[in-house]
Amino acid sequence: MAVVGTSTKRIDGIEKVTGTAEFTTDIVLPRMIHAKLKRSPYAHAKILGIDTSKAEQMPGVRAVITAADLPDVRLGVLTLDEHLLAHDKTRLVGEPVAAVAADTPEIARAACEQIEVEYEELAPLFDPEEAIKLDPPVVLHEEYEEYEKLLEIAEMDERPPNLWQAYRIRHGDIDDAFKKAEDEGGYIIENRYATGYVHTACMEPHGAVAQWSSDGSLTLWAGGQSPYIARDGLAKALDLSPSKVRVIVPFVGGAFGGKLTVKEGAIAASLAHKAGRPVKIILTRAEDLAATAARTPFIFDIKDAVTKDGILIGRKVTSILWGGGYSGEGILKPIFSTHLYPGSYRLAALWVDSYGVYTNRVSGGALRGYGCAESAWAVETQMDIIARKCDIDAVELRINNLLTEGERTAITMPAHAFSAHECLTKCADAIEWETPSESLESPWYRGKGIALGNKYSFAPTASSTELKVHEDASCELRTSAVDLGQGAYTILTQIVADEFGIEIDQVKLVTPDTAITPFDHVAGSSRQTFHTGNATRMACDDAKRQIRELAASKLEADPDDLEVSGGRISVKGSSKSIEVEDLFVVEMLAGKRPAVDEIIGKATWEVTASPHDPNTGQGEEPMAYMGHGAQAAEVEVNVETGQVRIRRFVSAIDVGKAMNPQGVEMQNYGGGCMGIGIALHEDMCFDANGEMTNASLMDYKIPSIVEMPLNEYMESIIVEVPHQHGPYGAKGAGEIVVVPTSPAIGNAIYDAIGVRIWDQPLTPEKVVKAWKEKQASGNGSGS
Amino acid sequence: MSKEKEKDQTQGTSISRRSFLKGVGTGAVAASVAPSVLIDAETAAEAQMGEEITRAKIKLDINDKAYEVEVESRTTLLSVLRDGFDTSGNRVDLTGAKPICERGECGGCTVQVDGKAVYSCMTLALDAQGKQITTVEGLADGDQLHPVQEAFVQHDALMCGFCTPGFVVAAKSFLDQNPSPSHEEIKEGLAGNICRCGTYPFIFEAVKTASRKMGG
Repeated sequence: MAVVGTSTKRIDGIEKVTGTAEFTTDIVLPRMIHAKLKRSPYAHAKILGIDTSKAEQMPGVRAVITAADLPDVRLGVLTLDEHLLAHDKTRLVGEPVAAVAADTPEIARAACEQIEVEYEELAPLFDPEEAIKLDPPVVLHEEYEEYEKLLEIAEMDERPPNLWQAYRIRHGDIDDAFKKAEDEGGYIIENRYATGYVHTACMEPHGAVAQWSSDGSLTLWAGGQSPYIARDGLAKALDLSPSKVRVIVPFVGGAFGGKLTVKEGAIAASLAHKAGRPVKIILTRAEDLAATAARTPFIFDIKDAVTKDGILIGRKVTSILWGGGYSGEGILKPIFSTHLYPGSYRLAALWVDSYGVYTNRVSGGALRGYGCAESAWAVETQMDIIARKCDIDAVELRINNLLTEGERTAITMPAHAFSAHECLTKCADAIEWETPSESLESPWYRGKGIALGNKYSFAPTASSTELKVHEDASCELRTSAVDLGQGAYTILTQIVADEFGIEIDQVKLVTPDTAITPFDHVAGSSRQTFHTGNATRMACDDAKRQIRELAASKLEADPDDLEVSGGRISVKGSSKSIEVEDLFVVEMLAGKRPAVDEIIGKATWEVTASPHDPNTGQGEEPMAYMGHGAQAAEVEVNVETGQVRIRRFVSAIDVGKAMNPQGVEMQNYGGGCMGIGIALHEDMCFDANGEMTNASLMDYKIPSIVEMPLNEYMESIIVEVPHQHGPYGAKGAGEIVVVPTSPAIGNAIYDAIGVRIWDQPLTPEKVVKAWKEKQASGNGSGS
Repeated sequence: MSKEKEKDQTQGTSISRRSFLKGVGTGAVAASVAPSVLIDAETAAEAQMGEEITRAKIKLDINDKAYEVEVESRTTLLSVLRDGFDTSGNRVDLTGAKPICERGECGGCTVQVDGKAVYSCMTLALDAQGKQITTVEGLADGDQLHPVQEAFVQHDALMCGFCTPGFVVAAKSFLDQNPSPSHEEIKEGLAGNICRCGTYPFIFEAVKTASRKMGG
């Protein structure tokens, strides 16, 4: 293995540092015009009428569309509850109600302002605990029962009218666990936690370019996470056959879960059809932050039964995902978030009721960690509280509760390649866990915190790749896996180079284009290295098999006795060999062709899974794999200003096999950076009308270089416990790196100043308030 | 600079200081009093619709090449680089600088003007006349990357790459002014750029390596 496992430079690095990498926003087509959206100013309103006549008459306006111009189909991920353009109602501020394409973005914007929409304002509903009531003050989706649903939710006597997801876990005897804890001198520890509103805030805003051909087929360029999900979504929205839609993915300026679907692309396509010209749509930063799906909050009520020795024997959780106007990409979060309730721990009894509800705010979407990063906040803070209650070291308490290899978790996931212990202890060593933080001069306090995390990668899922071998022995990999910055293209290139014993620059990647590259599910759920990596390796095997068969007669040997490496086919144990080039022997007029057929290896890697019973959370192996990681932080807290500085940060994650160690290190730091922002200051704020009030990068504060600890205080630890199904044993790294960050920081703040803040983010205001409350009461506010 | 001088610098122009200020001012006012955050600065255009927008032909020196472009008073340098045409109808086509926030909050559109890093989204094209503009496309010498670019590649100081051109220019500009910076100075010097992928630790390393290569 010459290339896999070495720090290989990103294959697209030069294009990115010279500015030549072409992103969606850089694309210009002949005759291309620009689209803008007319958005609802109301969180909840009936649309009584839309008058587009003034806009249509403006010079430079080429097309105006409303819902009336689109097929009357509802869209969605698993509950189809949303129109491309608002149909009869708007359910959140910023919901698109009409769209304009014009010669310039400025004209399109001005024309949007000339569209007159008559609304009848309805009372909005923002409180998730009101929303979940059986008789809520407001119902968002009166026609919910008629919607098409592709996923069964838990049975209920009566469904609260705003509820779109219900999932239960019923494992063990929960009542017995609480009784045992009470009777035997143990503890019952009950707390409420909440996460905040977080946006992916990708540097590249959402956008697309749409162009129709004269044969009625559509080509869309969009920097999304899955060209095939995009293709199918476009086909459904526009009532086309998927074969009529081609999606090309240019360079993608970050996604983090926020670019799974291409709603804007479908609107651009509809405008392009009407205008008879290519249409580009690029959202403004404010639109991107305020009106595209966000990581919406969870509320967790968690109650643990613990023995007096600190062994967790039962856990009961009720959670509500504060969804927005539509279920969107958040649809599975109430399910996936439950994976962390057992997490890496043994739990004899687990009882969970997890819900998702509609409210008139921004729709819930995916963001790195998909529910697990949120529930880890509750679970890993809870573990710290339990440790203190039982007077057991927080690392030791966790170790005492860990599963062992081969055991099944309370959600029936086998603990395979179970590295929680190794991640935790390596992380603790690196932060010198045994040594308490130094005391600082008031008002500064220092403290350390640690947390464990998991990220499951979903199934069922599949990836296909094709591998063509050229006459110069170079290889061309065709994949629909998308490089969002995580380095997928480099890792896949490494695999091909390794399998063929050739140099990195002898591998060419054909990047996602549904007209050329085969199916790949999605660049999400930390699945690219694992699934596409496997498919790539298998396609290489298939191509090498073809080469061996072609070479067998020339070498007068059995194909099984041949090996292919470095552009040469050799007979094992002999000096006989030929070049790959020798297979390309048929001379034609000014060219050669392969002797038999083109050498194209093809493979599909598939992981099946049976969905869990939504009433019990039990079933067969529900996921592709389970990732592990631990993070620790040392913080400095100023109790007068509430400022929290990250002094040291350690991230230890298990990747099975580090395909590209430098890339893993980057994930450790980059994930930690995002995790620090989410823990401390990222917070979408809304006014009383449900509109985001800080929709700019100045006011929605993502970390800058200033918030990061200096390099000598950052440590990346790579743990490698090979997974039996991972390529070379590898697992994904993209999401686990943000899962433990928030609780590690929250626990460090407690260690420093003895206060708990239960709801993210842990802003200076909350720190000061909690500190003052503690001073007033004379003890800690928590534990 | 006096009003008259500014007027003189725009060639055969109909632009006046008054319309210049109006063009800029309208955007700023619209952005601050707009009823919704979803109505962006482009609402400026709305106020100008139906009113003749004055345009001027100006000369810009970009990456040592002279461009004659026609701009409105409110046209930003970023807009000229990415979407502008020269007076012969050819696209300027320098899309390395990225529109990320378009209001001076992220550094994604950083270019050098007379050796100084500026946000090209906050720089009026008119103000860049007669100055030397360097974009990310102008850093490499043919196939030979600039030491800062080389260091970014070597240290993998990028992930998605969307903020990278801005960071590269900002880092180059910073090192031009401070050839051997301390850690704290690097932090301060690059605080005007943001990266959602969180590549900062490797950017630190890249800047240190580039500093050494550039003889700092």
